[in-house]
Amino acid sequence: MFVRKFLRLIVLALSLSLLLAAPALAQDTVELSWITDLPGAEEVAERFTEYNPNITVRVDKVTFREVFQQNQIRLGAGSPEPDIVSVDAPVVAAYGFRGWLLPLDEAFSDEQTDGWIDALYTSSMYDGQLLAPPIWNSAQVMYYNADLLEAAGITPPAPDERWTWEQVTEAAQALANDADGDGVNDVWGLQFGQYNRIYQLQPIPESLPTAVLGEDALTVEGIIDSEDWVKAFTWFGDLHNSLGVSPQGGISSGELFRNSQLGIYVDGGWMINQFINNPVEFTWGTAPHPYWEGGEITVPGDSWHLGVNANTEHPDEATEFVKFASSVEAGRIWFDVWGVWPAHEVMIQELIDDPDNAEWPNQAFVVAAGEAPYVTPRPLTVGYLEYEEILSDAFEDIRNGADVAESLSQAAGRIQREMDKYRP
Amino acid sequence: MLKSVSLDRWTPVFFLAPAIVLLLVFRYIPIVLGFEEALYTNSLSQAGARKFVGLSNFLAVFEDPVVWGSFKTTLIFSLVVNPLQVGLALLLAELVNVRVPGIAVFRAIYLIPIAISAPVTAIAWGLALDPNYGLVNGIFRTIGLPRQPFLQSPDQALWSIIGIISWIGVPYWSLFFLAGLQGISKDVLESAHVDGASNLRTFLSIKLPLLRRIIAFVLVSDTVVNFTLFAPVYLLTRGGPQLSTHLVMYEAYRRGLVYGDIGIASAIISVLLIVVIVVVVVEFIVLRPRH
Repeated sequence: MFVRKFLRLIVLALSLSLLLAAPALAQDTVELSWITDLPGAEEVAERFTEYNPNITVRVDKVTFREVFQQNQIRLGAGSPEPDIVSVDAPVVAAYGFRGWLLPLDEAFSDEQTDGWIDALYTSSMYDGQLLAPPIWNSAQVMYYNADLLEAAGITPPAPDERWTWEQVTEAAQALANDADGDGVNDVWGLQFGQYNRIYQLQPIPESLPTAVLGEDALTVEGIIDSEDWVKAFTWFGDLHNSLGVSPQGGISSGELFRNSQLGIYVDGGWMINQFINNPVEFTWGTAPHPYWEGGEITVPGDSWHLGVNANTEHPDEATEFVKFASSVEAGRIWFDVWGVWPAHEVMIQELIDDPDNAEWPNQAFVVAAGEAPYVTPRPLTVGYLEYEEILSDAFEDIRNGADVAESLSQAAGRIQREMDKYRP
Repeated sequence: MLKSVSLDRWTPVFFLAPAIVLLLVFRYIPIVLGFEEALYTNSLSQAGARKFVGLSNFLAVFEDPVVWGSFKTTLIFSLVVNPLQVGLALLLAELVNVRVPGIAVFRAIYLIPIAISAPVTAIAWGLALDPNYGLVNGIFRTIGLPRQPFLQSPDQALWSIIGIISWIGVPYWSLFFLAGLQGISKDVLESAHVDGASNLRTFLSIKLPLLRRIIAFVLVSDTVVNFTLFAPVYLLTRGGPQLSTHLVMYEAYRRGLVYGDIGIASAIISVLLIVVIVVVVVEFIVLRPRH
């Protein structure tokens, strides 16, 4: 008897709560979904909701690699979620080609689009339409451990002194040593932050200078297996093998640098904030991104963009959010939280003019901001996903001592087969 | 009377229904959908639409040297890993089946790898096998052995993966053999002992034939698990170095989830499914119980 009464009470309570919830559901509250790995995403979403109380943004945090997979599975299946799509700059074309993103030209004023750095505006477009406005930018700089350099008898570069790769190699050889004789260097000379991704390694061939993609945006044979590429990546392979100045394996370059086990380290401007807020126990410095002697200066750049899912049930609300996330105001939130590079000309100039940035270590921001004119976007091709993934295989193999010409020629063949699928 | 007969007839169906429905929903329907998906492409047509392409995804699979290479690598891998795991599991089960003081403690210890999830195991072994900073090379150095590249070498990576997954697989499958061994009647073993049979003779002539059904089950299950192996390759080698660990599942993952070409990925998986079915049927025929 008691049990029956209890059950009846539960049923009553449940139906009441459903009745009460119904009006709330009927209200115009829209929840947008967004898959991202970006620090600061929650802060930007919260500020947006302050201005638009009827719209909330559910931020689903995943790892960097998963952002692509999770989005691509859903978009490929025609799902209405996520409403907001994180798009890495070089895949704007790939997503656009597949019809996954809503064109946003009408929603954006010239004032807002003109405020973005030119290279970023270019990579927001596919087929003449604005698909994915930039929210971040990036610039790579050369970090060095001044204590290690001086101990190796090398004068560190001045903040505006751009070393050549030849100078960097020489310094790396002087830095690398195995004092305890265990066969593993105690100090390594040089490593990149993303040592197997084209994003970071693109300037090595590009600075020679040489092309990284054919003019039709679908040809790689004869380009990435050219003599110039072999020359560029022979140097990269030698660093890891015959010269033994760069560590192999799945290491974290940032950790090695922080532990004084790495003298020179090329990585994004986003590390500056980390070194300032969580200080290292040695004198560090930054210098502009290296280039080949007699070659061109090119610096890896561009970053995340945001698009609107073509199948979203909330196109207006999602577009509103993308407009906010790519505005100067959101740019300031991104910069405050993560020190990430702004996509807006006006903010770059602010960084350079800010009196607080005249002194070390904040001066590092000025060094990175000065790289903006040299930023080269990644190859703009619908086959970028294949291009990047297969080149990563080749870069790893070259790091592990595989024959450079053979690795690049195999990669060229594999990528070309994939690219040919996209030919009309 | 009639009524009760019809109830009896339907009772087993009633009890089996949930399992059959789940099998249909989570196994058979997805297999059919997978085959269907392999007949379409969505990456070559504008506006994200699906286009029927017949068998051209299958043709593309057969023409692609990388996909072929991944099937070859998977076959070599399976030929090594399945007999190795089944053999070692059987040996381990025989070893822990002895009655000595403290054996229960050892039985608990050797099962620990099973309790750790495969991705965690893979990552931990990946750290241990690091060429510069790994534990294993540290031990090698202490005992005077040269440093090994392990996962960084095209000659050692596949073997390292085999070692890592066997660390979990061998104790896991040995559980089944241990149960089988303990199910063998003591009378049979004692009479063999009285007749003067050696341990080896007892194992080969009595235990092995009696374990035939379990061996068939373990071999077939292990074959399926290893043909579809993915996590360690994804986490540790990404198919490299030089495609030496590029197993079929990893290639299918890349096509489907990295390049966004679900049609080709489904075709690869469909071919893999057929290969697995053929291998499993052969295994069942070879190991079928002889009455």
